[in-house]
Amino acid sequence: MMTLMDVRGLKAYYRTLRGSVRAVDDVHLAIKPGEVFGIAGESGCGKSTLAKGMLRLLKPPSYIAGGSVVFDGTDIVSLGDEALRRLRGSALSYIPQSSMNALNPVMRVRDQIADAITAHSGASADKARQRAEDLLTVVGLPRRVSRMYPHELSGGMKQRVVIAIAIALGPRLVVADEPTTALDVVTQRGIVQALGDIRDQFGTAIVLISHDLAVHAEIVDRLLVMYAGKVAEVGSVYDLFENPLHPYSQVLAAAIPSIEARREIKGLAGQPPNLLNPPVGCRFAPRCPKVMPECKNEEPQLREVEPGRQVACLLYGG
Amino acid sequence: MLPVRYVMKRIATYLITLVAAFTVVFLISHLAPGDPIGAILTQMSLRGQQIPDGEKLVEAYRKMFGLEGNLFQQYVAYLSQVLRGNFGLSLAFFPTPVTQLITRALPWTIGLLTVTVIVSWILGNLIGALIGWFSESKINAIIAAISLVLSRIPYYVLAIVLILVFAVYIPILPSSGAMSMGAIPEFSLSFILNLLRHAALPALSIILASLGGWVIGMRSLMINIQGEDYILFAEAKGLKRSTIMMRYAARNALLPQVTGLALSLGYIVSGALLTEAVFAYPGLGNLYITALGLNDYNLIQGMTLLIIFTVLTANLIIDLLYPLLDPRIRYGEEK
Amino acid sequence: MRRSERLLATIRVLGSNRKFVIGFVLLLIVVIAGLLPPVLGIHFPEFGSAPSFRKPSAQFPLGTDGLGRDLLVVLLYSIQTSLYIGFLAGGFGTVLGLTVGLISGYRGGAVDDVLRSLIDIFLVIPLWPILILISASVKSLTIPLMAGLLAAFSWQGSARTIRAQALSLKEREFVSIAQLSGLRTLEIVFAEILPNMIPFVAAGFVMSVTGAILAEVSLEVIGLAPPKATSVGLMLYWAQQYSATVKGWWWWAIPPILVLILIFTSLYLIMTGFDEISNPRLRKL
Repeated sequence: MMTLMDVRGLKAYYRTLRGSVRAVDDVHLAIKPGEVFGIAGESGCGKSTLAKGMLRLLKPPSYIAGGSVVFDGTDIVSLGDEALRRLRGSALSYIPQSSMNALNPVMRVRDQIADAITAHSGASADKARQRAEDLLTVVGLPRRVSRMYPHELSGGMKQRVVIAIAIALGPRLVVADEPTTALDVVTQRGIVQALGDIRDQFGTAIVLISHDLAVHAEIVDRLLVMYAGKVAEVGSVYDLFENPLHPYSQVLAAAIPSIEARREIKGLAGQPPNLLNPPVGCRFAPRCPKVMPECKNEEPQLREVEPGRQVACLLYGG
Repeated sequence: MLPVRYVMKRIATYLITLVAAFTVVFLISHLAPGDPIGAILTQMSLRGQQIPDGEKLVEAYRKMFGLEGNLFQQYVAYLSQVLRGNFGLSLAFFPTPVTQLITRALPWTIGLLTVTVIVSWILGNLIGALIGWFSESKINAIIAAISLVLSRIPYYVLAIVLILVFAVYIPILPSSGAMSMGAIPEFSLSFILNLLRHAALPALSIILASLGGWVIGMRSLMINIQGEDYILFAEAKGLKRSTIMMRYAARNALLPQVTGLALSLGYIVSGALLTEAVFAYPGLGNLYITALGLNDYNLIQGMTLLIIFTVLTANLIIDLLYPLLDPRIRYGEEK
Repeated sequence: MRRSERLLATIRVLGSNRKFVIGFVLLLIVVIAGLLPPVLGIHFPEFGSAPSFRKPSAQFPLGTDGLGRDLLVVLLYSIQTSLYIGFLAGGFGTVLGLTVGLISGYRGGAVDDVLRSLIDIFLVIPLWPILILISASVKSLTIPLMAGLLAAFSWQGSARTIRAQALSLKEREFVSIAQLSGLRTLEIVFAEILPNMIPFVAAGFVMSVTGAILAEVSLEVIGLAPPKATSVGLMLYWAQQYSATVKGWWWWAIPPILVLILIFTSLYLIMTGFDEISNPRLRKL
């Protein structure tokens, strides 16, 4: 099975007066066509930076410090600006973290969908507007929304509009950065369903970034757990929930409340490490319930322990 | 479709401000030493003029402006005259009505102002948008610095400097008046060129003095907007940089600039009038100088009222047009 | 912290900001220049104390004017007058702006609405015509009167800033404590809020002075000035009256212009310096 997107050794840092913060430090991941790939982790672990880095949407003071992102045979990191622009929106889409403000306040909804269409295809303005209205129905919005302005829409509606824009040109891959955060549970469900529908109908691969494991559980095929800028574990969503290997994944899985079993929910003491000067050795060591003496000196590498299952932990020979 | 509450509120504020300004001017004029009738009579005798029906004129004037009643009666009388377009009679050019003198000077000022305000606003925003968008380039930092310096130079200083440079040292443009002495107004190319040559320096002076502020303002707006989410998303959509700069960034940055225009109109008009005075350009600014020199209080008072009225009205018009640009105001009241 | 410690700390902070220091030094140079003649015992030139219409020379570095006065000395005395009027007006304007801003921001409600509309009205109305009207209405334009007049039109800037600050400070804890302990509005305003606003008051003062000097010169340049005093604007007026500019007598117009630019630049740098100090985010722009 060919890989749609292959991320190798991606490093994304951001410059501060005291040095570079290593928000994404040597991340590998591979996404297959048509799969829903989730990236989970606590706030500040680098998920959003990773999402933007994959699409080269990082703005100063963030920057890509190394690595490659090969999409359909082309390395995005070294691609020319114009070629990258042509890819964006058409083959490769992005749903930003805060859709509240992702829409231009002075343009009507249909024009914002239409200009993405006209920028990449030779379609006429009228055709593009028609298509815009059709897309709104795909994401479950009434046609009359097309003539409205963003401030007239609710949060959930704006999110759907953003999704409509992202899929307008039938991209092969959509990166959705926290699409459900800042929405109520009911609306969340709707958005997750909409994303699932897109994958089912159009075969689009989706990269779903979220700190909310429940969202991952609902829709994701494979899941990657990030900690402190590094990959902790990758595997199918079932494996990760029912049999997590990495101590951090185990803590995450155990922290999900369950309606059936009444049990004590254990959190995790301590803070994530300072990414300006990361400690030597495993970054999770200070908080790890299964820490060993070697963990403080040796940094674990990502290793495939079963087909499709990778862990970065000394417990598994990483 | 129209935001009714917004419009009503603005018109109400407008009317209240007009009345307040009128009242203030009226009260100020009562600080003036002497009384208008006395001044008129003095003027008449100074001229040794025999104005036909001079006595009747004075009586009529007295009645019109209620100069025999108390303060309140005078206020009402004056207001009713002003509402009819009667600003009294000029003292220096007695018995010419003030409005007539103003009408002679008005076209020059309006012509100069409209051209310079429009040009400086559009040009300033264009330059500001470009240097704000491409803010890394070194040239842009230089342009920004020049604009900053320019924006701090007062209108009259710039006027005098321009006279020195272009009328004296490199004598290519005339330094005063609207046309050459003895030129006969006609609809010919040479006359129009004459007019343009004379308007060149005053216009350039006002444009340069106003430009800097717009450039700096637009520049910082564009720089701030670049951090907005909708710009990032537009980029993620794969739109051309030029499209993003125009339809996403600049389009939004223009909104506060329009408001800024309304707010600074008073300041720009003040500067433009002063520039006219320095260039002896026959507009209202120059008329002020003439009126001061001839102690024509009525003329000064009439001009002041008219100018305040015009600025406030222009302000209102801009405020009423604003909803057309900002859909949040236009559709803000329906839900 | 004791008063003296606070003062030293303030001076250190101010001294660390390059813009402020440069601006302050420039302004100091101008002020000293203005104070030179009385200190050096040079009297204000009488009419005819020197040959008139002379070009710049070793004896008269800036030449002489039409009334036979050494233009350099006239300029130095003019600086004195202009700065005096400007700072006086700026002071009045700051006090006025401070009062209005504090009351408006702290009281809120209807009072705030009315005062805020007042501030906006003054911002929108063209200044120059009204100044001329008032000048023409008074018998003679004495210095305090002129300063008062200018102050009436330069207070809005500081009023707005002060109001914004008062609004935000109103919600802070130490004000609630003061309110609980039963202090009256005025007491709270002066004892609790005011000390925290000193940087903004200072910035407002610089703004008022700038506005005042701008307005002052805009009147003088058409001849409306206190009698018997020379000011920088008045020198420009005389330059225009004698058509000095057209005749190429640059020494009548350029030196006053340079002084004005110096004054405005220094005031602007001081103001920007204040801004940068009180708002660290601006420091790198």
